[in-house]
Amino acid sequence: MSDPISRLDQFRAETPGAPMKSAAEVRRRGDQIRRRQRTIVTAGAVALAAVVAGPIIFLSAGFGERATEPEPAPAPTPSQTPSTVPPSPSASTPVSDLTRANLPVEGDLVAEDPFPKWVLDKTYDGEGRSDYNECLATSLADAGALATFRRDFVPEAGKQYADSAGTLTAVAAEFASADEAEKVRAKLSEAASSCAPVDGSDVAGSLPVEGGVISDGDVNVVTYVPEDPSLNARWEVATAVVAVEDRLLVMTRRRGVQDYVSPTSVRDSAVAAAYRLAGSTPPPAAASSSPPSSPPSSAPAPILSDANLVVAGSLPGLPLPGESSATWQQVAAQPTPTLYCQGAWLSSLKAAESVSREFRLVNPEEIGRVNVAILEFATKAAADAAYEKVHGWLDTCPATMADAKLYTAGPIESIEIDSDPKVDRAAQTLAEYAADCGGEGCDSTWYDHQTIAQIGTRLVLVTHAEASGPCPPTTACPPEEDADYAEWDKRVAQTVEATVDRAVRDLS
Amino acid sequence: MDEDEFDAFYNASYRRVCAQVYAMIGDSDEAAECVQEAFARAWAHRRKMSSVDYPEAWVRTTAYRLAVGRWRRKKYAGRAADRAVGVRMEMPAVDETHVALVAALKKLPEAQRQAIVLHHIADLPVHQVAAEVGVPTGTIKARLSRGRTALAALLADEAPGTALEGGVR
Repeated sequence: MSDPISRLDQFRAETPGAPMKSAAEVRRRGDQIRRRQRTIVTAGAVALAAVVAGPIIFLSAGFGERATEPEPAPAPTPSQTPSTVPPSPSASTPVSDLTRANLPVEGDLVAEDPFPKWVLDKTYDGEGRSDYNECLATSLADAGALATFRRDFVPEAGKQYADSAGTLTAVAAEFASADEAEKVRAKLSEAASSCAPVDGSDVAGSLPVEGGVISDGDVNVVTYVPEDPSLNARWEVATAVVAVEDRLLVMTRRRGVQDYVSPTSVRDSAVAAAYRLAGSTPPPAAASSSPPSSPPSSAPAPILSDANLVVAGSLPGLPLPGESSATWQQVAAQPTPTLYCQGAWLSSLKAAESVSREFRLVNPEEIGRVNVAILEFATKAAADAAYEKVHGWLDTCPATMADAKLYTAGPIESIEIDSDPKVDRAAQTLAEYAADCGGEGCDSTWYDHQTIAQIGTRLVLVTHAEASGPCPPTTACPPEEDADYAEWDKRVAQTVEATVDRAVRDLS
Repeated sequence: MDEDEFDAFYNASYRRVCAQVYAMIGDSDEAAECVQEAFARAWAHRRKMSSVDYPEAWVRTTAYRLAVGRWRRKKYAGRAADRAVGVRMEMPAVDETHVALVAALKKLPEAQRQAIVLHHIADLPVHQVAAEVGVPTGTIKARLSRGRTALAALLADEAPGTALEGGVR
């Protein structure tokens, strides 16, 4: 029977059976789509508001609902007057002379513009409950502290943006020796950086805390998606851990954020608080009785900013058969490394400042990825060392921060990048690893160009990844001639050059 | 469109639209997934759907566009279609004559195939096919004529081939 009309009629009459979900299931999926669209629209509005107004805006619940409430200490009255209530040590253990006077006071703290100043909320003997910082699994007492005191600060009530400034907690501890304090500091710093107890936490950045009376210290920032879906921001935990001889200060700022802001205010607060931890008074330059917009003169002005980051419009579109090219859109920080081949989080490089940005394709999703990070180091030597470290990662591709299976990587090759000022050196490698198709028989692969460039004390890290398969994103499958790679190479080069161009804009 | 109206619409139209999209794209699994996603989108836009003259046509067009978009993405990226609606479902065996017809339809140019499916399988009058596709009725008539001729030739070629394949086995 080859009569098409009768065959078509038969097809219509005997409509092939198709499995069918219940209408309720389909409606649920529709509701899901609707919620997602609403979230996207609202997020866009909030992002715009954040750009205009500066601060982070919460859609519903404030931070206070998530803030931990420490167990009240026995009858302490909030006071800035030193207390003499150390824990009662046994005769065989060293005696601590740490007191409440070693805790920071309001004047030590630097508020981030445009948030109001910090005011004292409560002071405790001991740490209260140890969950003032979700990244630290061990309390200072458990780590061997002889004595601990804690002071909580909140934004000045009634002031603009007080609801979105978050909370700040300072815990002072004394140990039996400087060595012991340093060991605990290193462990806490690592814990603050990795934030292992929080699933899906993402390292946002870090700064060293140094100068004054400080032996060693840093501030690490992680972010994560809150459990409360009505909050249209990521939770940010900035943890400064500072050692001063045999004493430690752990300063934690928790708040919701839309974008990463270098934690200079936490760093400067920790520098000033360190003097009080040591039993002295911060010099006027370190203590902040000045307005929030005037940080201590010991703190250098930030060098990097969003202006150093490439924008979506500068990235090359991805051609799609039969469609106009797909364009890029900036997305919130993802819980993935900037470079697939990274052997550790970038915070381990100890840059003085860092900014980063991520992009995905608007349509379709999941076939393109651009991550960029700009790192500024205190010295050329530090930048050189960090370049070598990253170069080593790209060369060997440990990929210890990534989940996807590696197929092939390398070799790493030196590349030329046209920029002003001139790039000192740059290298690039191509890694191929499994893309997540969510199904069996998936032959999709990420073709991921990873680039590092150095300009003086600055490093620029770029990922330009395109998913394809079984052939790479070339114009012919399989590619046979150099010309088949030309468009792909051009897209990668354009991404790298646009990123470097923005990264060095303030240097030219 | 409230829940009861949507459920009635879905239950009455789903299999029919699935068959039509299957005929258009030649992949029954993909057709089922895309049609369900299209119905889900219809529910997500239920206010808008209330003002749509032919909701079934809206769902069919949406499903077809989803299918074409997926095909392009798969062709480009080699990735599996997304599983937005859920896990892939086991599809029942399809009648061999339908498979042959769909295989022949797949060989037609897309425009001719679309016109034939909408007119002969979705049972739409020519002017409605023209409205859905967005071209003049004369164009649809021409596509139908050429498409039927090409399809007849393809089905004629297919008949002896089927017998031969059976013989080899």
